[in-house]
Amino acid sequence: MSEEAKNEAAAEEKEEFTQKIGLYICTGCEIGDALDIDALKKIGEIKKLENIKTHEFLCSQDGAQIIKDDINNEGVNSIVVAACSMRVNTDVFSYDPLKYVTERVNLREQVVWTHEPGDEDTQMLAEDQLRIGLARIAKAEPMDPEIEPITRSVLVIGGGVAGLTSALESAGAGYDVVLVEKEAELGGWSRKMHKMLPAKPPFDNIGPSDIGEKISAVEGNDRIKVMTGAAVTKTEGAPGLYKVTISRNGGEETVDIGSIIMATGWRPYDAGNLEHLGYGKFKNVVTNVEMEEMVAANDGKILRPDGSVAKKVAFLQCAGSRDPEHLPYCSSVCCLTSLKQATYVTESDADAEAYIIYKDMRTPGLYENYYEAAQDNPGVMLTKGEIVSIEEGADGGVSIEIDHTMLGEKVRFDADMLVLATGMVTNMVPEGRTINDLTPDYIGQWKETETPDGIIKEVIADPHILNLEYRQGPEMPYLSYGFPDSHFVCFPYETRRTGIYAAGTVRAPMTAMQSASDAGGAALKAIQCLELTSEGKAVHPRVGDMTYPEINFTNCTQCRRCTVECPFGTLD
Amino acid sequence: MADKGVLVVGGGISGTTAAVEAAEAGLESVIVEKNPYLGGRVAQLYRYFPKLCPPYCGLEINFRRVKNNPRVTQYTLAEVESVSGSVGDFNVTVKLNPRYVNEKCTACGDCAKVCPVERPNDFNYGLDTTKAIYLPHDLAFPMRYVVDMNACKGESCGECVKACKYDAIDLGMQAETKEINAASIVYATGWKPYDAARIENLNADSIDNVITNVVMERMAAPNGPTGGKIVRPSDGKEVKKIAFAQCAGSRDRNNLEYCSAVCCMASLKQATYLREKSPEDSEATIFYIDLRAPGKYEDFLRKLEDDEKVTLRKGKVAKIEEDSATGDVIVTLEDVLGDGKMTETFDMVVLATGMEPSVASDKPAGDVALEEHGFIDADASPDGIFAAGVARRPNDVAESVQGATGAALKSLQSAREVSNV
Ligand SMILES: Cc1cc2nc3c(=O)[nH]c(=O)nc-3n(C[C@H](O)[C@H](O)[C@H](O)COP(=O)(O)OP(=O)(O)OC[C@H]3O[C@@H](n4cnc5c(N)ncnc54)[C@H](O)[C@@H]3O)c2cc1C
Ligand SMILES: Cc1cc2nc3c(=O)[nH]c(=O)nc-3n(C[C@H](O)[C@H](O)[C@H](O)COP(=O)(O)OP(=O)(O)OC[C@H]3O[C@@H](n4cnc5c(N)ncnc54)[C@H](O)[C@@H]3O)c2cc1C
Ligand code: SF4
Ligand code: SF4
Ligand code: SF4
Ligand code: SF4
Repeated sequence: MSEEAKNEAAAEEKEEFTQKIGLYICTGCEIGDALDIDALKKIGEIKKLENIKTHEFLCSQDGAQIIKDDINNEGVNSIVVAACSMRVNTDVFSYDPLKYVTERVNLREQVVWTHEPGDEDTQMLAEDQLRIGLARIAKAEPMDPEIEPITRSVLVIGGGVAGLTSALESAGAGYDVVLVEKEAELGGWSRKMHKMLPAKPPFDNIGPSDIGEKISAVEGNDRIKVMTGAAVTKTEGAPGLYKVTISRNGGEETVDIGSIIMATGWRPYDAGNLEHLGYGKFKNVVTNVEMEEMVAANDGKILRPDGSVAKKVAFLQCAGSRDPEHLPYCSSVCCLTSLKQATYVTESDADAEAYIIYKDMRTPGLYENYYEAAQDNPGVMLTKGEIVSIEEGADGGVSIEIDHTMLGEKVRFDADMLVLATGMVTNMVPEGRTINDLTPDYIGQWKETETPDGIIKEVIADPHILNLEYRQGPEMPYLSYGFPDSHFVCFPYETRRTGIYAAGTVRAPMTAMQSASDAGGAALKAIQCLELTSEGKAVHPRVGDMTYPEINFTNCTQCRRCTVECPFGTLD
Repeated sequence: MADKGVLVVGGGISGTTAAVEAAEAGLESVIVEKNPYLGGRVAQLYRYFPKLCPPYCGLEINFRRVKNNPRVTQYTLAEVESVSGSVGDFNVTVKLNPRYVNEKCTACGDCAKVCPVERPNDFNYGLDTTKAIYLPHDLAFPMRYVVDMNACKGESCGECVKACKYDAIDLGMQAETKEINAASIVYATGWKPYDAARIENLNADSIDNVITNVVMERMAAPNGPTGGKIVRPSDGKEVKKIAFAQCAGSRDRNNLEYCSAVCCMASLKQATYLREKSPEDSEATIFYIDLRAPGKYEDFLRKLEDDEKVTLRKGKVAKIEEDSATGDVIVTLEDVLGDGKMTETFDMVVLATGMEPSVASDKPAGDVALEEHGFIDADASPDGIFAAGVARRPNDVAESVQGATGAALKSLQSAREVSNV
């Protein structure tokens, strides 16, 4: 059935609501001992209610059953539960909000547990609570959710391994996808790698990348519309109802979108800041990304930037990472990538050697297998140590002095080339910004405004990836280091923008294998958002909620609070 | 479109997440959990790194999603007996073991007051006892008592039945079987702590004041066996000087070859448990090979590095001995940073034992492929079989949840029989 036909059918199904109230009073949890229950029942009788029942334990199976029976046999459709707080037993006293209305009268927490039992005032309070409840329910009607025809398609921004996988997974579940990639080609960083880390058991050997197959699968998939050399210039609307403007080749087009996956990936930490490690100072000091590109370009040969063969290559871990001056966090993949590149070195020549100088070797989980394999490789030397000095040696090599080694003394050694294992910065952070000077919450500029009450300082967020037309700002807020999450333990996919989910290295540093796995989860969240929105329901954390505000404009004082709070600018 | 559903084996954080995420996307989901409660191992943790927040916060939210969603069905005390069929049409036989307590239970606790029998409390790793009729723990979901029939004296006693005002106990309850048809199966069977007794040089079994990290979580928890006090098992003395031995049995060719990925962070976290309880006069030392605090967890490590009462020392623990006069624990270290061997004495030592996949020793029914260590390799398993959480690979809660959400997506694809990727 088409969306519209469905909505029409739903509208027809909804009949006129003739109210029939049932009143259920619990006498358990001290309520019965502290109050005159008959007097309470009288209030219902005065209102001529036909179904008034009490139970010594209303939330028990038997108690709940008397309400269910009245609904099924007596036609009760408005249920007044005079018992405990509305915050407890929510699942017990829960009735389909499209058919029934429920009112919880709190006789327990707000009356008998907090007031003198048997007292006249306590009884009066209970009776008032009940009268209020009965008055409220008399005005209530079952919910009529706002169901608008929505667009069942997913926008994926970024065509690296995370974006490609999100697109394939969403399409694989039956949804249309628009994939926007700013470069001319798909694949992101994974396309530039010489070989890839182990991605399946037993996790002990590197191998060719499967990115080519992913790209072909995306390009050959009818449900996926690929737009390369493109960028999102405007995102308007709310889940199910986004209008996204995409610019490409100087032209612009606007597409209807249901939910959004942001998979814009990472970029290397700017090694220009690492002069103290010889970068930019000595010609044969390179980053791990440059190493990767050089080895790929030279078909596995290990050549220095000056073109000569390198036989002894040193790797310096945490170059600018785990360092409050540069990247305070750990990039999670660079220990692994140096082990991989050390294997490039030993594969290139039988007597080539690789030296890895690390703080902690971080190869968690099953990646340990690969670390073990490297330890068994006679050409790979691993040592814990911290750099003391780096000098340029004869013939353009580097001479490195390290301390805190496992030998307990300073050691100096020479290498033909030094690779700095630099870290990853999320592309949430615009080019040219360092993660140490980000404005709080939103990445942008401080703006100071003089007002009669003094200077007000606020952040004006920079437009960058999403270009949201929201008053709250054009981009996603972040918590730390630019990563767009809001609750990264129990609910890692929750961002602070409904309907927009992040996947892959834009969300946290991770390997390509982890990015691909992450992309599947993000695709599910995007799909879930479409499914729930199409039923007029909210998504997690308010999942299933069908309420929405109706503004009474005759009482509106134009305080504008709502236009500031509403993320979707509904009332702008 | 009524999609055929997904069956999730294991109701820990991973399984619960897979089921609710799938259900919220429209799929019927069934959770089959062998414990009498959902939540799995995280229900036994005191706090989560790195935020030091209580795991029950996230669990409660997920349980509410389970309760409020008519598409989720959960069976506790349940096991998968057999699986047949293939993707899109698996037939699963589930055995529902008797709880001996029905839905009428209000968790009033009157039964346990009169029950004459005690049993070791497995939730607290046997550090205390419960009655034969017991609530698995004070936040258990479902919030309902259960009888341990191995301990119960049976109908001849029946004291609990007499005490129950709600007619909730039925000692004659029988096991049932249920046939469930599902389009896919997600295995989220999690882990169990590696048995420290198998690590020869660490003497975990013979020294009272050597405990494992999972026990430390229960000790620190206010609802645990010591009421949240970190004390020595031998004499109940408050612990002031503690050591953590990392990679206890992990990254070790004789034990678990892989890295369990969470125990470095767990020990850093547990050091804060002690430091918080007595900030003035407690000390913690962590002996490690590599401190693995990836990503933003580095911030947590930095916080510990800044605490002068916390010592992080590279070196593998070679030997652990008991000072029989005092009950103190003497640790001998192979100090790889060059100071040779060293020994130091502590009030108590915590072994940072790893996570072993539970299917390695207790393989559930179904055609699941395992890699060499016993983790489930979904790619090598038949179509429609997926794995999530620590059943898939050693990882923390965040990554478990992420993988579980991905497994929910795969299930949706199986149910819809749209082309699989
Ligand atoms: C030296 C090095 C070696 C590595 N080797 C390996 C390895 O061997 N194995 C492994 O598993 N991992 C490896 N990694 C990690 C791996 O590179 C990442 O995990 C992977 O690239 C993440 O993919 P992604 O899709 O998240 O991001 P990316 O690969 O960065 O893709 C993001 C895509 O989004 C596009 N984009 C960015 N902004 C926009 C925008 N505003 N609009 C539209 N498109 C945009 C980009 O152009 C890019 O195509 C390595 C990392 C390093 C540093
Ligand atoms: C000491 C310690 C501290 C930790 N602290 C943290 C922390 O602070 N933060 C963090 O992120 N992570 C922490 N972790 C890791 C965390 O415990 C795991 O990531 C998490 O438990 C994984 O959840 P799971 O659902 O995959 O597995 P589990 O929690 O093991 O759940 C699996 C469930 O499946 C059930 N089951 C098993 N087999 C079957 C079967 N055959 N049939 C039916 N049901 C079955 C089990 O009963 C269980 O309920 C810690 C780990 C340790 C060892
Ligand atoms: S992954 Fe290794 S090299 Fe990279 S920041 Fe972390 S510890 Fe340093
Ligand atoms: S079984 Fe009966 S007595 Fe025991 S806790 Fe439940 S309701 Fe109370
Ligand atoms: S019948 Fe069993 S559970 Fe009940 S009181 Fe007796 S021993 Fe305890
Ligand atoms: S997480 Fe740490 S303690 Fe655990 S096995 Fe890995 S390195 Fe060892």
